[in-house]
Amino acid sequence: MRETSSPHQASGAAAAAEPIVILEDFTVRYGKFTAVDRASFSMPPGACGLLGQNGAGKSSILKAVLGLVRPAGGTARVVGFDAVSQGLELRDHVGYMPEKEAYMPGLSGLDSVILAGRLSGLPKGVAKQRAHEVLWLVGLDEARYRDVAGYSLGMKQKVKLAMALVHDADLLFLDEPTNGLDPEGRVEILTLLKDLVRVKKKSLILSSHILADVEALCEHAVLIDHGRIVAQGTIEELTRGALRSYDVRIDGDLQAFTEKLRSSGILVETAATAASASSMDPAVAASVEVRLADEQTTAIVFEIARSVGVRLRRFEPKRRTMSDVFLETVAANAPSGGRS
Amino acid sequence: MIHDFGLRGYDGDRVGVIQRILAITTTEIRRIFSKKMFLVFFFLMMSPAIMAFVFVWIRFIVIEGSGQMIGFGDRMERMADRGPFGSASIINVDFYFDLLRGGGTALTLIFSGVVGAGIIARDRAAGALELYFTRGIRPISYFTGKFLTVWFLLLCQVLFGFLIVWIFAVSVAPTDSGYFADTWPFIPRLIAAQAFFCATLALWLCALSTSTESVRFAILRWIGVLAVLRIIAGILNKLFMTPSTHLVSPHQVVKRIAQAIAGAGPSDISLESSILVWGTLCALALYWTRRHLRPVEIVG
Repeated sequence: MRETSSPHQASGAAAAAEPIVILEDFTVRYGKFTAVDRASFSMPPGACGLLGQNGAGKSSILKAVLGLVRPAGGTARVVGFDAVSQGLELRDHVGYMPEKEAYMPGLSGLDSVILAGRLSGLPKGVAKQRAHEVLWLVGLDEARYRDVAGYSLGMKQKVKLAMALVHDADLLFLDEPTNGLDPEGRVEILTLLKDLVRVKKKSLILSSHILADVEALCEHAVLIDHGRIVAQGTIEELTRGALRSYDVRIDGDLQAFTEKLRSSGILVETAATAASASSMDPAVAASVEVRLADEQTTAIVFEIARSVGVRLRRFEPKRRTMSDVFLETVAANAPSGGRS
Repeated sequence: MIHDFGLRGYDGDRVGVIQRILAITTTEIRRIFSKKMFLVFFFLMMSPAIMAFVFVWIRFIVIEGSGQMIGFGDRMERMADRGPFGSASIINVDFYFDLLRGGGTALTLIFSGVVGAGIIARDRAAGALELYFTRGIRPISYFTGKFLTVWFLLLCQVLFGFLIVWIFAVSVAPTDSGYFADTWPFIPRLIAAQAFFCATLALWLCALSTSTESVRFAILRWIGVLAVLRIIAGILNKLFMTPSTHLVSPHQVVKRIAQAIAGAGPSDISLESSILVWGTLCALALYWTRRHLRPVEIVG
């Protein structure tokens, strides 16, 4: 079987560098309630995470971009199409996997995927052939003739994914794809998505409040809180943050070491610091987390250690998890009043 | 041997909106007719056409072919010429327009409720609207696809059975009976009338179906409202002795207009008033659809 590439994939390395989603001052309102407040961000091809707590506005962004909700302001350009004025063309080139349970009632998995393909403009024969292929790809080839209503939750998620893929979408919008799945089902879906991104070279936007999913799958993330974009960048950038963190293990006077670090303007923040403040035994090795600002070099820590007479047993960069990043960012941007 | 088909790209042309609408319609019709229970139900609902078929068979095969059946044959012939249950003769348009009178109406109401009242409600309940509206179609295309489905199913019950009966009668009628010459002039008008009748019911059904997620409620609401209004119209007619009271019943209104299109028997309900009520109800149905056919609930 001959492999062909989609227009988006065929556009080469030059196109690969261009953002696949660009939002500028994008606003979504439900009556007087502002769900998304002047959101501006761009996402490169590949896997991007849209992170936020429940009700943060993630689904509203997806729904407004897909034309399910009319945006109150701003612009959204997705895979080269304007989301408002070219909604129909856009929806032919993207796939959407909704968060809540959704299936075509009374249809088998195969008929559902065929119908999805035909609704996206595939001729009947092509839709039928591709439906068989994508159902095989997501692991539903055995169950494809059964009514979707009788599927397990994990199988329903896979059918939704097959429906999102059947028409050769340039970009997939996945709204909480692992929500409600048991651990095994979650791993299965994530493995499938990793395969799509890394092997099949598909681009996707993963909207989720499960930070581990985003961290495992995405190279880029946008953090949204109370309808506002609070951080964005690559996972590497976000987890590194503005401050560089290091795990430091010493032999010697911990109190003198930490006081000297603080007096030099270095942030020292660990549970060990607090615990050791009152019951410190200079003879026992202790660990602290040291955070350096951009302008500070690691040499200063070595200098302070030498000056207070402690021996450094370990000094290694500490990587923050997305969970740390998210909690810190949300805390830093906590609104003082209402949302709108 | 396992074949990894991969995920192929698609560079071909994409079909237009009409093919996408027809995809909805054909998939839905196939789904409905694939159920054995529905086929049994459909067969029962086709009983007016089946009875018509039996009477045509009696008229042209039993009576014409067994004219020597003395006495019994005369009775059969009188019955067949008059039509079953006192309806019109088989060479009259009224025979094909409404065989069982009230009985046929009740069957049509039940059938339309079962096949049409839940057509969108079912999708709402399953969350399918979100799947449909994130494809390259507008809500109006989705609605049209569902409308065509219900229209086709109603035509199957109301019109197609009688057309088959007519074709059968034409094929078995003796050449000197003049059956074809007597009946073919009203067939196009009959098709137009039943198409109008079914289209109106399909529009109202689909519109009402947009506002609920419960299929049972949708069916009960449809059958209940139309039946109650029909009864009220009958009671008012008895009280006030004026045919305009029938305008209370939407079914009577649309049937009156269809009757005029078909050129079927006289009616004492005003055609102009019927058209006015019909127009108002259709406008309300479209407004109702626009108001309720929303893909998603409002979420944060």
